[in-house]
Amino acid sequence: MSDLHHADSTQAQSIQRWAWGLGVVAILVFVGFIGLTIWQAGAHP
Amino acid sequence: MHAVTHDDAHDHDHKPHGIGRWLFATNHKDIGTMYLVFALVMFMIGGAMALGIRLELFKPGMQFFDPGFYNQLVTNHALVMIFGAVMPAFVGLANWMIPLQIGAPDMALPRMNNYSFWIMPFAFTLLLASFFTPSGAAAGGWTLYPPLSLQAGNSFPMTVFAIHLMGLSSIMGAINVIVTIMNMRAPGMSLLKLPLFCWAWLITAYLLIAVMPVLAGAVTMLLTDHYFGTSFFNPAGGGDPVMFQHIFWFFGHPEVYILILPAFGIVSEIIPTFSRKPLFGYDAMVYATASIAFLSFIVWAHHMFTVGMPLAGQLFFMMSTMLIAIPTGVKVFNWTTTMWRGSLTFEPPMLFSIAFLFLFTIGGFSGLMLALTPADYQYQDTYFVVAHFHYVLVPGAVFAIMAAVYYWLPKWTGHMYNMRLANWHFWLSTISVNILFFPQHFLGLAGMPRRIPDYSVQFTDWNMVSSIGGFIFGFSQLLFVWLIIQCVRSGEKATARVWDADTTGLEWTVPSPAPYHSFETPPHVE
Repeated sequence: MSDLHHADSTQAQSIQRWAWGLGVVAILVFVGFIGLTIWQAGAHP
Repeated sequence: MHAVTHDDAHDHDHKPHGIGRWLFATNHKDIGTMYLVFALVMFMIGGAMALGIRLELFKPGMQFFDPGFYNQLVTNHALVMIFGAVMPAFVGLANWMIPLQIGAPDMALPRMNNYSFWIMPFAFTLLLASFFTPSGAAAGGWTLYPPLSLQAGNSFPMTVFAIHLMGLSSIMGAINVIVTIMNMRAPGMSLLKLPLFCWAWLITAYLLIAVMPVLAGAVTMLLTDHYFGTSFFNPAGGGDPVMFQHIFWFFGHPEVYILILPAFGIVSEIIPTFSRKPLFGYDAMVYATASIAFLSFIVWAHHMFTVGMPLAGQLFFMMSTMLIAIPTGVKVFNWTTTMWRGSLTFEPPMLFSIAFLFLFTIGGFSGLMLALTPADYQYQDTYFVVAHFHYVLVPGAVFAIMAAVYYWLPKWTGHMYNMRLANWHFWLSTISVNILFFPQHFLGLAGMPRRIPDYSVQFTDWNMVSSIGGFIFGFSQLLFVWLIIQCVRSGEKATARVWDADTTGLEWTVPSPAPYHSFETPPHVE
């Protein structure tokens, strides 16, 4: 929370939710693409 | 847009001093400045590599470098310019301008902002240090296609880790932009009142979060193929190198739009100012930007027509690529219509924006030519492609960055700059950039392949012309650097509005230079 020295508490909560949400999306894309590649490689004869 | 502002800046304008101000910076203006300076340094380093390339290509035969080093220059010129110069310059502009344009006191996540910047010098030290390893730097092209890239020496992990770090920095920067715009707009500023620079950046930030992890995944798999015995892409172990190309371009094509959408935003700010008219078709501009971003995800295989794919695939990727011309056309016509019957003046930001409009469109048209699958078989891997993407990126993205600097520099420094020098910089750059890149269309159509240090004698004349243009363009940029230094140090005092025009953005309601802390009390947008 210490980063959010300008924000009120409702705004700070929303900022936290957005930041974590987007960070999780980025990690899922990273893991997802490696997973898709492994799955695709397995599909090869 | 009218805003009621409470400028209490004078009471709170104390700022930290010494090296700590920069190392521990959380102020969006300081971090923006660091990004912009970093980008300028990288532009000079990447530019020096480009001059090396043009020096070698001045005439046929091997003059200065061995072919291996030439390939290292080509590869790292691209990586430095894309990830070190253009992207950080846009992030720097975002840091400076987004809080000022939406009436926020800072970015939403100031410490993450600090991390995202300070990762960059480490990433590029790693990348550039790889030149000094026994095997030299990466030399397989910025696309890092296997199996060629897997034959690299021990500099390979340095390049891969540098790309990981750049990606991490970009993702954190993108999260910060989205979170700031979605949460910290001044009361009354609905999304459809957002300045177009912010809109363009918001959409770009979503693109970054969607595709930078894809690149990170791809290079991680290359790394495990190289060092941990996996065979994702290594055909020697049963891997599929074409799979890498699909994954790379699924990142790579949206990346092209990451490099150009903020430029669209900048030009959409500048043209109305110097036309003294509101932007024509604001809503259409927003929807066009979003459409371009959406389309960027379904066109990737147009980079791979000659790799071989089913006819249906060729048709799909050709048609979807050509569709991009529609929203892009909407933007070009809207900028033109904004100027129509406007009370035009031609200050340096406007000159660079008009040059952008003409020259980016040339790059767009050659892109349409390349989108035609049967024609692409002829153009693929020739200098025509080099001419195409340099028209999009240099008089496109780079000119837009220069336009932005000339537009907002008085707001940042509080000084007007030397207009005469800026005009010289504009004309020298615009003439020489065409001497540099236009002949490369002819070379490509005549069959000169790209990424080679030597060529057949029939290509000599246009290569000489191109190299001369390159050297004039390169050295003209020293004027730009000198002008910025001059403007930071001294110059006529800039007013809050800066330009003799009806500028409406919130950034023009704060004094010049913008106070260290601005909008601590949010303005109300009516």
